[in-house]
Amino acid sequence: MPDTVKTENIDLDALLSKGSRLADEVEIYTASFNDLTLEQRGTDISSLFEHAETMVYFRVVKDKKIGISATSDVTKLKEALSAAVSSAKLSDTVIGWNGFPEKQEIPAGENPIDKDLEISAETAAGYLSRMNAGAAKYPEARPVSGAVTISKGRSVLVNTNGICLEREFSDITLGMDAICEDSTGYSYDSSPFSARLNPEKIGEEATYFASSSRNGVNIESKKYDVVFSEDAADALILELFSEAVNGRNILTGKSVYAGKLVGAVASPEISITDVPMKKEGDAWRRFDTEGTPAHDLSIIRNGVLQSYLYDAKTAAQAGAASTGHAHRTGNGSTVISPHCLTISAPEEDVLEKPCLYVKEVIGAHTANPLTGEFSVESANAYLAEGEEFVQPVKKAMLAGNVFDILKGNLTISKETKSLSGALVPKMRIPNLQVI
Amino acid sequence: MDTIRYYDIRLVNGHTISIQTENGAVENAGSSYSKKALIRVLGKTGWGYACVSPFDMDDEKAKRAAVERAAKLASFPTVKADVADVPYGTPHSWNASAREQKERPLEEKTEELLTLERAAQLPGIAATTARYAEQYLDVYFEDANGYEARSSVCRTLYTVTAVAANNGDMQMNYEQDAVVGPLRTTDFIGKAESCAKTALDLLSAKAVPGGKMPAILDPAIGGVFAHEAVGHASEGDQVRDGVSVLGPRCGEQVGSKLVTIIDDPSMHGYGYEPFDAEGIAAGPCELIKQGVVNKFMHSRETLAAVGLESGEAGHARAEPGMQPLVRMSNTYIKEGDASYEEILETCRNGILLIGSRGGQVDPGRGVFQFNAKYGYKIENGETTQMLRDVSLSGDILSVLHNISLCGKERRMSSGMCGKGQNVPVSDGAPHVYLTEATVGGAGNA
Repeated sequence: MPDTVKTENIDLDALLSKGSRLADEVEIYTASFNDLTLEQRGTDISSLFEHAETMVYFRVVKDKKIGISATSDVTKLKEALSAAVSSAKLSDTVIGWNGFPEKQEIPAGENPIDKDLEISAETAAGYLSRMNAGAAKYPEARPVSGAVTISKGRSVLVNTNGICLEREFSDITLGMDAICEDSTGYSYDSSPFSARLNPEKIGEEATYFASSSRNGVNIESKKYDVVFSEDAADALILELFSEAVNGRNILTGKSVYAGKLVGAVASPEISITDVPMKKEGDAWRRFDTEGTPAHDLSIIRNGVLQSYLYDAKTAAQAGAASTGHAHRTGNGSTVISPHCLTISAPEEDVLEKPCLYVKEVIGAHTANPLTGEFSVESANAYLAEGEEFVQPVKKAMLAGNVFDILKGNLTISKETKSLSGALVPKMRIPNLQVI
Repeated sequence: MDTIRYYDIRLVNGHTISIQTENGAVENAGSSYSKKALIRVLGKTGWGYACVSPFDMDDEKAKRAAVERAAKLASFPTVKADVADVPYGTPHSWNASAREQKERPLEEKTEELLTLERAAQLPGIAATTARYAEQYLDVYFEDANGYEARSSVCRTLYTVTAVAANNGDMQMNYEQDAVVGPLRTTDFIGKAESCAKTALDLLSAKAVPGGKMPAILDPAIGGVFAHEAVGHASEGDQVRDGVSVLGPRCGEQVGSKLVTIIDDPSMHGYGYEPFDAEGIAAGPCELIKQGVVNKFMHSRETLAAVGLESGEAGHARAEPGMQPLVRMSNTYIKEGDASYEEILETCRNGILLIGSRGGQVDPGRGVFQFNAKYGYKIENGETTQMLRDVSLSGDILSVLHNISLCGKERRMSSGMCGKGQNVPVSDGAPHVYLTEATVGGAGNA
């Protein structure tokens, strides 16, 4: 049995013990949060929201069949455990199942928590005030709304194989919307660490993009060199890439990369690596939500596919080892996603040569995750040259294929933005169809 | 003592059961439970919200403490908010509790889901997935006026996905339905088969060359148009904040006289709510009436802010434990009088868009985008070549004027809307003919 751990007055030892009488293996993962959200309308505070919650996720294994359940109602822990046991009876045997991870050495490192961060309305109001100060740089634009969420949390993982791990985390999320005549702008950022955020820049970007996108022109329908902002590159390119290397999609035949391990899938100049403890990233994960140690993982090296992402179950099914990429969903099952993707490709000043710069894409989620084809609308798009936005563009629909883009002459900016699951550069894509 | 001008408490007790099968095996079958209350207080100026979990409505001491906590939070805002005094209405009651559904053994539902998935496993289909979920939400609402309301709603859904593969090419299609009340997955065997056939057909479909062209929207994607292009721009918070292109145009003709768009929380669709997150039971609200901006959807707060004549309250919705936002429910374009054949013949040469892969709108700019599952080229009034990965974008005010025909038969589709929080919605339309639309695709990429 693991070391004794209690979380939010939940006796995990007792639950593990009870579960052990009903199943071969038991795992309990808890995540407790305290957060506060302060919202403003215009530049005045409109509401204050306080939230505290503990989620408890159960997984049990009986005869190599996995059962799951979850509850945010801590008065229903016994029902949830019982539901997980019943669920295991319905599931199919996991071929190759080797059990939940066992206690093993976890890489050294710190948790992504800002110990000095205070969850208070005053702290949040300070961020809003700084965003408003930045927004005031473009007074012709009007902040519509803004929000600050500050949260701290703690997760605890225990299983009957001796795993007992704890992780603390914090998060500050800032966002602002602005409008100028019929033109809108938006900016946001988040980080576990207060010192990494620049609230003034967020406010300034929101009003800048609203202001500078006015009087956009229609442009000719043809192929352009297009530069995606970090946000657009993440929403469209890295999102579909992550799905394509997801071990579950590989196993179930829902990825173009299935069967292409050690094959060329991208330009020889592109390498993509997941670095869970990347200092500049925000993940700082030493282990995943199953307790598997998280290590650097080369996914594409010089254009050649090196690895897929697995959790314990998909790894067993694939006859491979878990890569430590299990995250949790609402019903207690695991989902697979990267911790902190880093991209290596030829670097340049991506806005130096003439291009169409796209700050945001509308409808990124409508891209075809299987084939990689997309046709999306742009927002805050500009014709750019010499590092400057020359002319705002009224409307530009972009059409292409994410996996073909990775095979082409993609170049990236040296600077990156830390987003959920990746350190993202701006990306310059030659000859993209614009409609 | 902090000022309390108004408060309400909304407790949601939830239980969700879900089953997922992949390639003929049960991937997972699980349950999740939740019990969350949002205590909301309107203080001297603005709102304080406290989410408490778990919460007991019968514990008067805990209730008082939670209201006092939210009142403290409400002392912080500086923006003055008010709530409009509106009638609560009579909660609409459909057969939503679905007790029989809950009592049927999970084993039986799992077998039925596997049967549904097998129906999609046609020759040439490389992978299939099926999912079933049933969600029971019991809502307890009370407010400072002593008003109390209770509801118990069951929602069920299925999704089946088929991946077709041939010589390294792959295409995917999915079918889904989601309803208020019970649903048997075996009633949709035909849908699973047609889902797989379409995935196979997509292997030989062509990418569409983008550009401006006449377009026909089928009821599914026409519904997404109603939701994305008009619905979001008709939400009272967007209007109040000056970020809706429709906001300044109340009473103005913004589209063809054929266009009437309605949101109706009382309709027996996936977006049905007996009463909203403020306890208000609403009926159909005509957002666009014969091309004229008619009414906006409101919460009590946005109705007070924008004006009592600007629309109707009863459209505040929230995830359990979250603050109410102005949202759509069941949104649709009203039927016209054109036959499908007449619409095709009028279009002559253009594109037919079928099914929806979702969409998005920027209501402030008035620009929207949505993606169809597939489409067909229309040549000489007939559908010809199948097309894949077709999208459509445009600006709301132009496209509404471009609607020149609406079909006779409307169909609704169900899904989730994610405006900060996810809530169940449905949308629909008859076949709609647009004289000009911006169509996107990789055909000339």
